[in-house]
Amino acid sequence: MSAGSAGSPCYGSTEKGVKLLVLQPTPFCNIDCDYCYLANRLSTKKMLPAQAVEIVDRLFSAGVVGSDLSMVWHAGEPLTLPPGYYREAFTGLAARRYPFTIRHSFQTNAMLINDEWCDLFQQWDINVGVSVDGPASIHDAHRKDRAGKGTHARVMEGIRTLQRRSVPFHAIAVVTAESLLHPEDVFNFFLDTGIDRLGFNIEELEGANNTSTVSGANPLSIRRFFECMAECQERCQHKISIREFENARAAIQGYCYQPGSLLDMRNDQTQSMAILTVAWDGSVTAFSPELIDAKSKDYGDFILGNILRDPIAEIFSSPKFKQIHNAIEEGCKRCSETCQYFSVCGGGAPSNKYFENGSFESTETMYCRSVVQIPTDIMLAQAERELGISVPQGLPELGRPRQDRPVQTA
Amino acid sequence: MARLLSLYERIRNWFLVLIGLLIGVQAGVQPTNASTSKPVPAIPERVAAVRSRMQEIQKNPALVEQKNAKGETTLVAQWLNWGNWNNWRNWGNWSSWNNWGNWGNY
Repeated sequence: MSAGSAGSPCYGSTEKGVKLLVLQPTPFCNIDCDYCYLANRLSTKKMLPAQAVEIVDRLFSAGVVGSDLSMVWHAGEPLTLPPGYYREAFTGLAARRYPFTIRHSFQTNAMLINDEWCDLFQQWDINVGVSVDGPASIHDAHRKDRAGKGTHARVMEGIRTLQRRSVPFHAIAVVTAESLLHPEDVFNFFLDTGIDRLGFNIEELEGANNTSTVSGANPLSIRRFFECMAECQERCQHKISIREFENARAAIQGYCYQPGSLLDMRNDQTQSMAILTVAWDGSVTAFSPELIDAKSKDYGDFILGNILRDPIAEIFSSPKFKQIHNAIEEGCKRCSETCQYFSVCGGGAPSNKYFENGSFESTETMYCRSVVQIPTDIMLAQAERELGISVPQGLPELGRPRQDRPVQTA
Repeated sequence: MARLLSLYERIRNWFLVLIGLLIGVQAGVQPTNASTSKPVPAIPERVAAVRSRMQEIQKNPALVEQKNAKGETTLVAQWLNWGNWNNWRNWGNWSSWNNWGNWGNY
């Protein structure tokens, strides 16, 4: 059974080709979070709906799309464009009758959600993600509007509208120094709000965000944060699914593609075409979506070409693409040789390697430690306990890092 | 000559004491059961153990269907459920586009 015949590609799918297309319909955002990695979020430029269709047409014609394509409308704030914009794009794509399925996703700050948006979400079965960091005291510390006011109250209005209209959604919370101090408050906020799928992004050094409140925090605090999440999750009988734990469980179990097939983790961020990110003007990058807006002393930027203008084959055979691809492959090779977690990770996140360590050829990052290693440690210990596997003697007590390592560079 | 011999004996004795102390200190820092304790398994070995246990469980329907006294799904069954990729499909696209796993600081 292929992943394609059964539905959307599963976690760690071995299917080749473009699986995730991240489109930036506009770089504009209606708010001004102080940890945002996008530099051009004041720009009101936009991609035309017909151009979005043309992009998928070009990928299809080049034969690089598998049996399923996830399209994530990621801006800026995607809802700053009207619902009619997306209706036009979705209708245009549906009319093409591609031999692959397309699933649309939005990641939104929820402030502009109203009934008209809910109609669109329901009509097109949109996968909605809301960015909310927790209770107001934590959220408003960083997620502010351009007048410097907190946005929490307006986000909650959007969330209540989604809930009133029974639109399913998940939440993504950026973990900042404030969240690390109050992990239980963060969890309880989501539990009380009735959010049952949750992902955590540790505040990162990426793109325009060149400082992180978390990087100066005690390294144990991130571990304690996730341990607290695991305890809270068990206490409430798993009413909330946490993405990092789900990913860790799936990677530990090695279940992928079909039941009974055990595979090590395949990491889409390190595959040459699994993830494409296209800016409003057709500029395209591959690997980590965060590279779309970033500048680099080594590469100038990470734009590989213009998908509306350049032949796809040309984009993916350019010297720049090869240079980046080779560097990422070398980084993965080093990870495979040096990191115990390689079989559950597959080589980390190239953008984090570049922004934190200064090179794609480097290995461990804060992202690795916080999003891969800590959840793996916690879920591995849980699996050993719950599945009756004798817990190895001499393991460090849960809660202690294996060791504090300095940032590595290539 | 006698003085030299005496000095030699003193040096030798001190040397022997020093060697004895070093051996004693060395023994003191070694755990008494050092020869019997196992090294800590690496992550890949622990992952392999979980995968192997999951396969065992899959082959044993009785374990999968087991409920506890309150009629709740057991943890073993729960893990199997988590490991079932069809269950992953219930996450819809979410798990798939989050395979990227990292929305940056969006």
